[in-house]
Amino acid sequence: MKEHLLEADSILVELGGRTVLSDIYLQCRTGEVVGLLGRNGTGKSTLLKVLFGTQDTPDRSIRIDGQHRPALSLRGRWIAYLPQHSFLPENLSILQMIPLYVPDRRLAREVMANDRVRPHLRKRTTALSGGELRYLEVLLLLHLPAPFILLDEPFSGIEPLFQDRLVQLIDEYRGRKGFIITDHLYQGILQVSDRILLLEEGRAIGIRHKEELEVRGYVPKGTFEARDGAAAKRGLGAGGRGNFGADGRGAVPPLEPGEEFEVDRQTWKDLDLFDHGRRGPVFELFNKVKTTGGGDTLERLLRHPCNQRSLLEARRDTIGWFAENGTELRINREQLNTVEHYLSCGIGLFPRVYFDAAVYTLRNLVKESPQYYTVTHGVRQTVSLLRHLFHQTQEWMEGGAPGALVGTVLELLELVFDSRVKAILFAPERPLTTMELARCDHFFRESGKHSLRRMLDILYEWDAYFAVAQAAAQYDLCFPLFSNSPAPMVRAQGLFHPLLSNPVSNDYQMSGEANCCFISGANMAGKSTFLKSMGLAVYLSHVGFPVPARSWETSLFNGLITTVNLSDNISQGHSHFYTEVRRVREVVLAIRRKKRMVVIFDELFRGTNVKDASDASLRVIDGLAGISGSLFLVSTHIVEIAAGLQHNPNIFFACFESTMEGGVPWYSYKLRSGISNERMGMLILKNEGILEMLEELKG
Amino acid sequence: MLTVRIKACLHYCKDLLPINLLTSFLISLVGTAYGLSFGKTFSLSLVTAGAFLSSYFYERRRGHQYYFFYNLGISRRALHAGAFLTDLLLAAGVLLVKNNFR
Repeated sequence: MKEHLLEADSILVELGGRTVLSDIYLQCRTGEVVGLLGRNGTGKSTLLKVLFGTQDTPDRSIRIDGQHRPALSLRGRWIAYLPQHSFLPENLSILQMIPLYVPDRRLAREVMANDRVRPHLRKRTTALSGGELRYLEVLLLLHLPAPFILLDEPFSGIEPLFQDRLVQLIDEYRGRKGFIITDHLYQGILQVSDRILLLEEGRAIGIRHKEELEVRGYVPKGTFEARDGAAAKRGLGAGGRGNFGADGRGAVPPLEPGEEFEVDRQTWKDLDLFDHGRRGPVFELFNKVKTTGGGDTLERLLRHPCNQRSLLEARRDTIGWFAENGTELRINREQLNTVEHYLSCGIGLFPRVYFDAAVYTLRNLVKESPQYYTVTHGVRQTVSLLRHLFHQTQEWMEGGAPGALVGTVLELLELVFDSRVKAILFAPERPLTTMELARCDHFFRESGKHSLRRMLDILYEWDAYFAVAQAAAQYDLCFPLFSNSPAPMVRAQGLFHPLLSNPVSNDYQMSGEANCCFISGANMAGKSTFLKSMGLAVYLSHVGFPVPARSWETSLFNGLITTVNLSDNISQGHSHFYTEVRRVREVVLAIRRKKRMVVIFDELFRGTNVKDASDASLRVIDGLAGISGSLFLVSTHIVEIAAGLQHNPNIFFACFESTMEGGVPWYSYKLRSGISNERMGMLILKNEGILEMLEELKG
Repeated sequence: MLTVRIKACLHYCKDLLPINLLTSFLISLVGTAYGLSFGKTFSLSLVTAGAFLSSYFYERRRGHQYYFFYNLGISRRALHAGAFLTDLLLAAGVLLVKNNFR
């Protein structure tokens, strides 16, 4: 399928004398989901209407694949638009409507056979619920030939079940179409988007991390921040403002001051964990979570490594026990979504006085209001979830859970121990009475809301741990040991890269005085893969996660800096070499700040001439090796400088073997001590037939 | 896609027609009271006041449904032109019937 690019710039919109949008630039490719966030009145819907061509504007330029297009030629052919309100004709049945939007008979039959559409074919749109209608509208738009779909508030006003279905629908079509989505339910947008733009004062600001939404005041401070157990016990909500349910998913206890493990975006990119805010392939290895909150927690855990031994050991032991025990966390995703929706619905509390509660219930027995349904259904689901959770934790306790897990379970029980709902939660399963409903509702959404939030956070954390435990079993990962040695050290047996299908493992050790490893080897011998494996093992052990090795022991460090896939920075006008120089400077500054670092350089100074590269490499490696407390792994093809480094006792030499067998290079991918002088570059070039092709072209 | 657009356009015209017919009928009744020909007044009203009022009421009551047509690549102007053409054909038909079956 051909890829298309939608670009919009110079958009200027003034409404009522106020500049709503000024000089916006926005782009979207097919296969990409762009999320638009912003407060009320910041121009999100206006921007979508401008793109669709139904909003007049004095200035705008919209290009498809670089070609300017007038509004009329965009609609339907290039862009489809889902407005905030329903747009389907009320006097047509769904059966009549489908052929209009899906002219292809085979596709139309597929749409009609859709499980969520089939029961309603004879109905008119007025007979559908809000969620069903929204689902149908999105489904129809997706069948139009337009490669770009603009969705204005697709999730608003519909129940979580349909929100989930819409997300699934978007996921299904994201490979073929480009989406621009805006909604006030930002959780849905964050879940589904590849990129986020925040509209603020007429400008579109790119958001790289969701925490920036707090900094820019779009969500209350602390929404994405961690809340520790102590805070929950004190009754402090997210950020201490008492706001509840904005999005408390994925909370992780914050690090104590001075315990951060420093890592930067380049390192995340090199290790394939995160790239430009997206989750990378290594993240996806662990991403076997069952809930959205679990996914967010997993991301937060992986984004926040630390060197607090007790925390890392507790996490490691819990995951290890889950992996060994082979038990499954039984969570119903739809039930959790219902609970989250109930907690953030904003509907008034159930009447507390008996008479009022009885009248309220009777009135709703005659004609049930959506509010009554949301609250009662939400309470029942929350009670069922908690009962189930307590039952499961009891099984764990009986099964000999480790101390760290027992501590968390006790904290969980303590959160409801003094509450008025304890008797209800621990009673055998039976329908709740009206007064029990009222009591639970008041606890869940008022007096005990912070306790419940913490309980859900714990549940999400366990979901993430179970996912990691599954990954550990699937990819044969080992659990790290943390050394007490005062000197920096790492010891690996059977270290491999988890993304390789048939990896060759290596044993490796660094400790004592020799803190710098000079790695050489021919092209394609496995240097970069080994360095990435090392970086990943160091990183994952500082998250408390299992490591791709047979055994792994490490001392605790203050940070990791890797430089494997460094590129130039054209936007800042930095050449490749200058970017490398800046990177070395960053390393030196980080070591000055943090002292105990692991630093990995793959092919240092490849962006300059051989003479400068060898001189610079020699000086830098020699200089780095003199810094005690940190570990350095440097690979290079300039083996000539090895002679100049041999005098330094802090440097040891390792290389990857390779041999020639019948004119074909053979690699063992095994690391051994020494220096490799093998050169395979020209041979690889020859074997690929490039030189011959060039000769032919000349002729 | 063209067939689909024509079908969608006809659907729009069908939506406008009841109000147009009703308005034109009422205007014709008033016209007859003043001694004007029913058929001629009806035909004229179909392409003038009736057409205008039906478009106006559609805009007021179902304005949000225009996006249904926009997504098919049909502009509001094209819809109005299609509706006018239909009204014109209808008016011509009424006149034809009136003149031949007097």
